[in-house]
Amino acid sequence: MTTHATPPTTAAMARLTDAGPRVLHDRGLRPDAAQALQSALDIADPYPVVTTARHLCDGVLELALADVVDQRLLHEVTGRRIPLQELPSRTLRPLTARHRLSPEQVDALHFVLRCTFAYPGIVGTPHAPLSLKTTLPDGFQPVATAQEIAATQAMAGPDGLNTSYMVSQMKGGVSVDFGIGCPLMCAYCYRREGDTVDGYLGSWEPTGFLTADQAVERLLAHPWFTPHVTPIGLHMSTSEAFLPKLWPRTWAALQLLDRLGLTNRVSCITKYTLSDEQIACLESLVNVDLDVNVCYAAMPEAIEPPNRKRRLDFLRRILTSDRINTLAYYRPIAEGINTTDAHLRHVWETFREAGARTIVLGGLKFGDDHVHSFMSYGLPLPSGSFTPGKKLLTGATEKRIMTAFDEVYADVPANERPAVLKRSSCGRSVERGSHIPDYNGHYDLPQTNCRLRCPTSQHDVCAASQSPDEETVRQLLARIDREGTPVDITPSTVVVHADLSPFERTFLRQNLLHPVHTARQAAELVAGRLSA
Amino acid sequence: MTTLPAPRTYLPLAQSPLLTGRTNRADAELAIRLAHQALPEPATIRSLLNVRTPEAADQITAALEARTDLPPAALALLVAHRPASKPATSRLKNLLFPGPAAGCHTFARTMAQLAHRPETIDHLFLASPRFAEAAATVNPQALNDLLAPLLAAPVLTGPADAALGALIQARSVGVLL
Repeated sequence: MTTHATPPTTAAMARLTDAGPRVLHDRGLRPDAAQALQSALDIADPYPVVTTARHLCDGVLELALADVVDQRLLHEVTGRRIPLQELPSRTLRPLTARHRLSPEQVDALHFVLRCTFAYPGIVGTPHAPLSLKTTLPDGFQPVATAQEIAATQAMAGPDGLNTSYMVSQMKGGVSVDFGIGCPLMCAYCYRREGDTVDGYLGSWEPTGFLTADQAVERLLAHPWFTPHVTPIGLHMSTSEAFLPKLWPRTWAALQLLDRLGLTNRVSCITKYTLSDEQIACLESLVNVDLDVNVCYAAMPEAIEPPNRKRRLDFLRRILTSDRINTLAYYRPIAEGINTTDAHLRHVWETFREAGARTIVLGGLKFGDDHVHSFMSYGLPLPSGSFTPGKKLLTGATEKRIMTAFDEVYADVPANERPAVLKRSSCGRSVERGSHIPDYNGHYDLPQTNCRLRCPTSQHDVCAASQSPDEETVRQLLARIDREGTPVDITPSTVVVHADLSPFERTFLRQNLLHPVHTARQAAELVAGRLSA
Repeated sequence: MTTLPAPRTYLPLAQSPLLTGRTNRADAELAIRLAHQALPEPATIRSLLNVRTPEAADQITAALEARTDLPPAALALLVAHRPASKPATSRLKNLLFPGPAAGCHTFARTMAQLAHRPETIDHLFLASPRFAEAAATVNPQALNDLLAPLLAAPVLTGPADAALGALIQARSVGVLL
């Protein structure tokens, strides 16, 4: 049944209608079109926007828009909103094939669908989703200026953690942290740098809290946060989002983000657990695209105290949810501590029994501070040569891990075995159904990063990653105060001719969904390929 | 998983479109473009000079030879990796022998090799009168700049140690004379 379009009522819509059926194709008219279409945007029911847009076009584009409304193509069958970044794969591509849309029509359709999303904060509009806004939304007052935020970011630690503003661009995404501290007492915790025996004795309770409102306000004011695009980590760097003391804030923040209509990927990494009621809360989210990453690596409890049985029960339980993306985090793998054949086999048997579909491996970060701490407690030291700030997982151990995997899953058909990835961002893309390329662009080095068990569909999506247009790159460079920087946009990477920090590079590639390199890195990359 | 679970298939990495779909041409074009435009940092130049694909390597060499903004360290890298490059060697020679002295192309090439690829040095040349003569007349500041990274190494081994010894010896004799 076709939904009948509501006639345009506003003066702005009437003007657009007068402009003729090509109004959606004219990029110069799109700001006005977006404003008119979004004037009645209801986050809970975005379909009237599409219905209204049908008045601004004709032919197959109008038919495609009718399909969007009739078949509710902005939502999953569960009722969750399809994230904006997944629209090209999940909505645009099928409609393009069905209606044989031209590239120009696809572009117009994509624009209309972007109009069905809200863009809170200082970044993003339907016609320029990655650009700083020229006009802020009515009533929105940023808590700080972009310059003030950039000044605090300049004082961030080597891993990017901004302990002043508490919103930090890190490799996994933008980490939103409400407080610092965790009582779980994992001996290898790298946030306890400089911590001493006293700290490890369990008094390291979370402190320095922001409210959920404050945390979200700060996120929306941050020039590096893009609605619907930036991966968000809650307490990614400073604590555990599901601790009883933090859960109320975590849940409040998720609700706030959801009410704003944001479809950003949000990650929570945990060694803790949630009750069925709390899982039901998470399942009620409609817009936020949540993933829960449950860590288990058979680490001795003297080193990683959080209760193992409760954690595995939680993993088993949350894996049954059809509304939460769940990854088994096989981390940390510490050479010489949890890498005997028995350990490896046990972990795979545990994941198999739990029904894990997507598993991410990860080594251990271990500094001098940890050596002192471990020795003072009589804990066994991991073996291997550690580089500060880098996780260690040798190729030899990785090979043994995958051999154990093959043994444990020997009687499972190959295509029914779980995916095993080296990188979290790869795992999160795979678990969501391989609709977008790895948002950290690790596929620039496939022999290193893609060699475990990444599904063919993800390889296809990563290989098909599209080069961005120059205007988009320029908009992003403006957001990191690097306007005018020369760039080379190529099929394999965007080369930025500047001494980018690792966090600027992460910001760019997570927004572009395409690899980004400095000239030096690009030269190294192509030399490696052309010298092989 | 919030979407209907699609069957996953897995293929060997060698069959991945990430490898099969990639062409050397695009990478070569990027390398050549970088040779023309990238800031001439030694690390960048070193990587570009490691490109082995013959056609790309030739075009990278030509692009770097044509640049007038290469600092001495980058120029020395170019000469060390492309000892047959006459324009680059001439420019390096002019840097090392800025005055009216004629200078010596082979000496310039040898210093570039000493700085960056000591294993390729022609040791017979180190014992020649031409080497001694050039060592005595080379601009000491330019030479120092060129060899500074080498001198910062904690330990010199093999051909670098021998060549540097020969240079010091030749300069000592040259200064005394």
